[in-house]
Order: sequence, then structure tokens, then C-alpha cells
Amino acid sequence: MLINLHQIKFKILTGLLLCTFFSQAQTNVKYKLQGANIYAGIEVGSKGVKMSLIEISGSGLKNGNYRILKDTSVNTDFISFTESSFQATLKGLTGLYTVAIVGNQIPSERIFTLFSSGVKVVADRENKKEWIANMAQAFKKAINEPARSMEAIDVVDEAKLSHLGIVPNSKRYSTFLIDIGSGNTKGGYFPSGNTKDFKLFQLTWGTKSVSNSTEKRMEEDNSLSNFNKQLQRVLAGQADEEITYAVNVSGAYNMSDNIAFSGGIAWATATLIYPELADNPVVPVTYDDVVKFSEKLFTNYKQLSDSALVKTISDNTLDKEMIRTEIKKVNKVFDQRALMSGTGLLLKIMRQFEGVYEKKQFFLVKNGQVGWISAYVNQAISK
Amino acid sequence: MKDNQPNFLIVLSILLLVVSMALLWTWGYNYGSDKKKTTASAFVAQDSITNENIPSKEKVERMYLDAVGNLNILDSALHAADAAKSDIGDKLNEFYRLRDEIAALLKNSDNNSLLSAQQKIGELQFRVEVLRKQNALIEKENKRLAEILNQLSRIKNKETLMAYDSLSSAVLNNDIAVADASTQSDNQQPATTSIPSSGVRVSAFSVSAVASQDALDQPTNKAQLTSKLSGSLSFQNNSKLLQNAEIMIVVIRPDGKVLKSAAWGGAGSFESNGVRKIYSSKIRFDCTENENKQLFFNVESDDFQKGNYLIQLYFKGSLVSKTTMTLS
Repeated sequence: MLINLHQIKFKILTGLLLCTFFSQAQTNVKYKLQGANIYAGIEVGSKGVKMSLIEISGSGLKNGNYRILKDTSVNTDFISFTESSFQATLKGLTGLYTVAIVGNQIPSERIFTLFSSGVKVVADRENKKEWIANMAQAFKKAINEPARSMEAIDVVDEAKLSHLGIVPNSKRYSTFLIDIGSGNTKGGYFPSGNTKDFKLFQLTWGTKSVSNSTEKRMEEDNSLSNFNKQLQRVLAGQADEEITYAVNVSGAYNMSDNIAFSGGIAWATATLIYPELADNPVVPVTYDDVVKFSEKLFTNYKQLSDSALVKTISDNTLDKEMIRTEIKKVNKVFDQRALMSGTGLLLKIMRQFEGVYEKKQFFLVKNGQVGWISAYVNQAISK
Repeated sequence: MKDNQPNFLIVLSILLLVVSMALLWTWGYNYGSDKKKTTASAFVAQDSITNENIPSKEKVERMYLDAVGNLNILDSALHAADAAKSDIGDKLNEFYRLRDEIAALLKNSDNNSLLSAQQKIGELQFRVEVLRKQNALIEKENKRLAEILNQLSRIKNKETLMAYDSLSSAVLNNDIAVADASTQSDNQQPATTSIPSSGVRVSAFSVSAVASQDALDQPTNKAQLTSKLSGSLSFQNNSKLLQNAEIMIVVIRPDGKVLKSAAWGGAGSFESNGVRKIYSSKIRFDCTENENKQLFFNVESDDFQKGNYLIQLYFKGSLVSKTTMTLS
């Protein structure tokens, strides 16, 4: 593959600029590049472009043991399918690719690029499939790699890969993973003790769709109390019916000991309920924890500010500044009403698994967004 | 003149006979003496006594006392040793028999008795020497075993019971009362913690550092080699209402921070007396009434430091047991 001098110069310059820019968007995952077994996965999602750098060594290929070294994202809103979002997405995609190939010196054959199922679903629904094809074409041209593979993954594969990427092998067959997105919720589990059979779980409700439905019901009264009242009605109505049905059909209650939630609301809830565990990628919670948190969101939201939460931490061995930064990040991404909507949906799903006698262990996964892409990379190089 | 010649010859013959007799006796005595010396040299230590055909009584008594003195040292050492006690006991009886025989011989001052005593003392000294060597070997082995035991005891968790602070806080809570609070020393039976109002009893809490290599777990006390802490405890449920429970394990590192398990979702947070604490790991389990469960846990990490670790167990927010361990 020949890359001319002009393109190399462009990549280096873009890489240097983007290295600075994307470092702002990194999560709290420790960045430690070691050895030659570093791979990159770049995904064009509904909201933006994400890149995960993972390290695979030794038995990693066979056992799926790998380490996420870094995850980076840039918001571009590709599914609005406008010219500006297209250009922003192309710029983000090319930029992240350059960061991987120049900034991190990862060879092209170790960089995987693809579209998420969310993009595919919306494109199919809105008859905008050509936007995906055009984006792939433009990207290949920009990096001068006409033979590069850039497929759009389907929802079952993505849910399955998420499970493989997020849940460790030791909990593979006892964990039901649910990813609460902004527009929908998907997940599933492996019911037969192998990774071929996957039971998909899907809801048409996500954090944003619950919030949108609630706001539609508010009419002239825009008060918080009315929002809360209407939110309970949304969750008790169609959402409740769909959740109850979907959980029953999945058969997950009888098959799973652990119920893990990923997605933005899982990250936000975990950070605000347990700020002292800000550096934990996975946080165990109870149903009661989330109930109390939900009540506090409505009745005493001020107590969830970064200064108020940091004050509650009595352990002086913890890094309070890092905790404060994480809380601020959550409060910047989710406002009070978005948190109430997401937590309400989370509680509705959790309620289906909260038995009187049999208690499930609930987990909130913070870095779930890099799960499926990491598993995709691992699977691709294992072949 | 003729009458004097026969008399002279008779006298000469008698003289020659006497000389030859004397020579014969001397040869016979030397032969016998050499034979005795060869037999005794196997038993008699290098001492001036061996150079004398008949030792003095004082020398023999001194030899006897030395040998018996050594025997007494061995006696006390061997009585302390449990291993091979019957075999050593037989040997000691043999020594006592020899000692008594020698003592009896020494009561007689005649030369035969002294020679016989000397012979037996030589035998006694030889056997004492063999036994002393055996004793040295046993002592060396004991030292080696003692070192292993020390290492094990350092690794092994010394179960201690809840401290007064948690006891008082539990009483203040009026929820959990703790009985049998005491500190367990190394040689005591593992202490137990009963929580009457909750109807549970925690005992036999122990933790050890483990090095995992090639899927093999081996105990260690080296921080560099440690990959996890493995522990166990007994949980007795006497409550009809308690059907599932959680025990929180808090491992406090030498730098005062809580060691968080590297396992997926391993570490978390809980409330203890109104204060939020971080736990390193948690055991969740189902239990039935009157069930005594043996529970096991691991706290994995790739960051074990050198120094003292404090490991605490919490049940329903109250400290129920704790122990310490050191990694070098």
C-alpha cells in the first residue's frame, strides 16, 4: 500500500492536533502502552466516533483476556444525516485513525473500523443506507486504503460482542448484560453455556426516549414536580408493560445471578451514588441504593453536586480532586431531568429482578461503551 | 676336679631354663597385652589411659563421670524429642545398664575390675558419641521445621476478635451485640464472634498470601510474588429469617488505603455506623437455619506492597473479625 508524502504530512499534522484535542475526551482508564500487541477499534456510532486501544498478549486471543488501554470519543451526531454531521464524522474518524497510526504507532492492519448497530438501524428505518456507504467510501479515500473493511454491525452481534467485551469469562454464563442507551435498550445473555447461543433482550425505551415521552405529557406545567409525576406515568404505562414482557420472555430471571447495566446512565448513577469508587470500572449496587438515589434526585438534587458529594467523603486516602472531576463530568452530561428519566428506567428494569427471597447482584458498568469494539477486535484477530 | 664339672653343668642348665622361662613369659605377656589393646582401641577414646595396661582408679572414674555427664545432656534432649521416642528410650536403657555396671565395677579397686570398667566406659563413650551425632541431626531438623512453622504462622492469619470500638458502636446501634470478644493469640483456639440479635456466629477466620503461577497457587510471604489474598471463615446461621447474607472484606494496605480487588465488580462500598467504607471484596451466599458454612474468598491485585496488612470482616455494617499479616 503506497502512501504519498503529502498524505503522510497531513496525517502527522492532523495526528498531533488531534492528540491534544482527543485527550480531553478520554475516560479515566489508565493509559499505559506496552509491547507490540496493541490494537485499535474505531466505531462510528449514533452520537459520534469512538476509539478503543486494547492490549492483547499471551493467552488473550484464546481466552479473551485483554486490557483496555485507552478510550477516546468525539461527538459528531452522524445519525442526523446532514452534510455538517457527515463532515464532522469524517473528520473525527480520520482524526482518530491518524491518532492510532501516527500518535500510537499502531500499524494499519491492527486498526479496525466499523459502524455501530444504532447507525444501521436508523439508516434502515430512515432509508439512509447510502450515507453509511458514502461515509465508508470517503474515509477509505481520505486514508488511501481502498481495500479497508468497514462493515455495519447488526444489533445481535453488537449485544453479543458487548457481553464478550464487558463481562469477564468467570461470569460469562451467569450474567445478564443490559445496555441502556439514549434511544433504546439492548442486551442479553448466553443461556446454553456456550458463546454461540445468545438470548437477545431489547426495549424501544432509552434514557432520552423516556425523557421525551415525559416532556410530551407535561403540557404547560414545566415544573419539576409535574415532570416527576408525568415520568412515573410514562414508566408505569407502556414502558412498564414492555419491560415486564421483555424480561419474562428473556427467561433471564431464572438463568442469571448477576444483572449488569452499561450505558451512560449506568456510569452517571454509579459515579453519583458511590463517588468514592470513581476509579472503579464496575460498581456493585443494590436496588435500595438506586431507589434512594432516585428519591434524592427529585427531593434534594443539590446534594449531588460535586462539592456536596466530595464533602461526604471521609476517607482521606482517596483522591478527592479526581472524584470531583468525575462528578462534574457526569453533571455536565446529564441534567436533573435526564438523570431522573434514566434512573427511573433503570429502576423499572431492576425491579423485575428484585425478588423477595432470591437476590440478584446488580452491577453498574462505567466503560461499557468500549466493550463491544474491544471484543470485535479480539474476535477479528483470533480468526 | 672330675666331681666339680657335673655340678657346674647342672647349675648352667637351671640358669638357662630360668632365662628361657622368663623370655617365654615376657613374650606371652606382650602378646596378650597387644591383643587387649587392639580390642579396646575401638571403644576407648584417645586418652593417656590407653597407653597404660592398668589405668588408675581416678582416671577411670573421671572417664566414667564425663561419659555419664554427656549421657545426662543427651537424656534431657532426647526426652524432649517426641519423634522416635521408643527407639531412643531403648538406647537410653542400654546406657543406664552400662552406667550401672561401670559404677559397680568401680567399687572394686582390683586391676581386673578397672580394666573391665575401662572397656565398658570406652563402649559407653562410643555410644554416647553416636547418640550425640544423632542428637545434632535432630536439632538441625528441629531448627529447619521451626523455621517452616514460623513462616507458616506468619502467613497464617492470627484470628483476632472485634476491637472495642466496633463493640461499642454495635452496642450503640442496639442492633448487633457481640459476645465472646477476646483476642486470639497464636496458640489459642480460633476465636469466634457471635451476633445474637442477628443469630449468626463467625469463626475460624484466616487469610494467607498466594502466588499464582501457571495456574498453580502457592503460599508466599513475598509481596512481589503475591497475586492474591485467600481467606476462609466459618459462618454459623442460627436465624430462621436469614436466608442470604453478605460478608464484606476490607483489606487495608501498608499505606493506609483500602486494597481494591482487581476482580470484575469486586470492590464496592457499604455503610458502617453511618460512615461509608470501601470494601475490597464481598462474599454473598445463601444460608439456611442452623447451617454452618465454610466460606472462602480471594482478593486479587497486581499491586501488593511490602508491609503490614489489616484484614477486617464486616457483617451488616459491623466489624466481626479482623487479623493482620505481613508481606516482605
